[in-house]
Amino acid sequence: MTQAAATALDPREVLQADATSAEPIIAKRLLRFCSARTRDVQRAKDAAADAVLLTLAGVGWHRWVYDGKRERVASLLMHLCSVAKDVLKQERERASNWREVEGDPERDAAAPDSKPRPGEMPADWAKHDEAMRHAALVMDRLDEDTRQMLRVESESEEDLDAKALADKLGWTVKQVYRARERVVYHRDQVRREASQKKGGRS
Amino acid sequence: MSHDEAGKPRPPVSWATIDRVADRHEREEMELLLAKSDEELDAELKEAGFAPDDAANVLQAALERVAVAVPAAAPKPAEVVSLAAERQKRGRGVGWLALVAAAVAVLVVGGGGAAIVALRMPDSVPATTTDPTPPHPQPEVLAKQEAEGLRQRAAAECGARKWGPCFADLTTAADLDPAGDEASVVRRLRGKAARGLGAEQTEAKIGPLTARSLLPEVRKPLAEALAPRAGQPVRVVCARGPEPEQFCGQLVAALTKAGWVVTREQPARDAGVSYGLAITVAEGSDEATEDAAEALADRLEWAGVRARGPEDVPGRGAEGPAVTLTVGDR
Repeated sequence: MTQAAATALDPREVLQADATSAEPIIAKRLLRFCSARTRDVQRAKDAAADAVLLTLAGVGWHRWVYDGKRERVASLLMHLCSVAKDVLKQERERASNWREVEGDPERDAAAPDSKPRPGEMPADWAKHDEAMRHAALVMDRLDEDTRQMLRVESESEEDLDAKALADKLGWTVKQVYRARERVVYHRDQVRREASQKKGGRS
Repeated sequence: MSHDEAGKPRPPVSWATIDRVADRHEREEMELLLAKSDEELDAELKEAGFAPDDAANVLQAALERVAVAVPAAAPKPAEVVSLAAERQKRGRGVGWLALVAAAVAVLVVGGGGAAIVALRMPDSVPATTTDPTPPHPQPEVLAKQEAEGLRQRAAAECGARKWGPCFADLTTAADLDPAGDEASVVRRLRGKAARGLGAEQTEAKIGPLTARSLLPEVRKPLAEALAPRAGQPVRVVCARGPEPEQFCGQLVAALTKAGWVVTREQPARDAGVSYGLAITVAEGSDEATEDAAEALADRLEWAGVRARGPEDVPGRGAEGPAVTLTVGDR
């Protein structure tokens, strides 16, 4: 049953009711969500558990507010997934920000004039180069089918929905979703590694 | 580089395409998850290496981590308990995660079924008492009084950097008096305790902090998140030395971009050494300044930068409603 306005519902009650219902919704989907992002059983479990803990503690934006737009279980699941995503993002940023590194006078020196010196690549070009390098890294790690899907998406002038893309590739819609999931995973991995590199020894 | 059927090289797939495809999938993912059948989920989780009960166990374990110790074989589904007795049972020596349970009630599954023991359920449990002629004030009045006492104690505990007890007292107080939990001073105290706990955990996990930096990808969102408080004066005191000055420069840039009125300063040469980041406001500052300090701490934490405070410090009140961010040595 949906409600019109934002309501203060207790997430513990919704979690408990869902966990003891005949067809629980939240637990498996939350874990599946985390698993797709980590590809690691333990990290996925930790992220899911942290998302539940943070939501129940209800500090800051982790507090769940039921907006009445969907079923309460679906709303709580979405909130938990958002929190889990943030947990994983924080994990990535901590790893990149606070990595133990040796001192390096060159790297640690105050930033010089940001304009390029003569013969140096302008910052925009460097950014473009970096983006292309990252894209190539993602492509290298993907299987050929997923690469093919991305090429089709790249060459298409409009956004293709999963059904249209599946038709074009001769796949099932499910295959498209799984391929897109791999894209999300490898994109996040490459971002993570790039952040670590920036935060650590260059 | 790959080639098409005619042997011509294909243009490389750009990062923008990868990002677009991934972002779209993330937007649609929730609907997909909801649409999946149990069998599909079971198969996918199994393929990813999970045991059949892992999902339920993760949820259960998370709930138990925040549960206070109650008898596992509690026979009744719900019962009214004495607040004082419950508090005594919980004691003060429990780890902070267990104490968070004061805010989340307890879920215990064991024996023949599930039982919820609510520490505060005035709306779902009939008010009962063993004394037919209660001489005391109404339960809600008592609860408010207890909550007030707990909040006062929490303020002292947070002041002494005892983050776990502080957080626990605040969450218990929130259970007793949810309306009082919305007061800005309480929200700030809760945020401070939560950040203190987070910092303790982080330091315990990763050891001493080095090589601080504000990641390029968080600078813009950080500035955007602080922008609603544009015009807020902030003093940024940067410790001397290449590392703090460079990090400080990044923070100053983000604050300036957010429209905060930044005054960058250096500590006096004979000033003592400070470490890490700290946010302070002058004692007696107005609500807006206190809230701005709280928002700064929150958003910095979101950006992966932990700062102590906000804390009230004496002096400087006459210089205007400024928040001070001190960037000390690593």
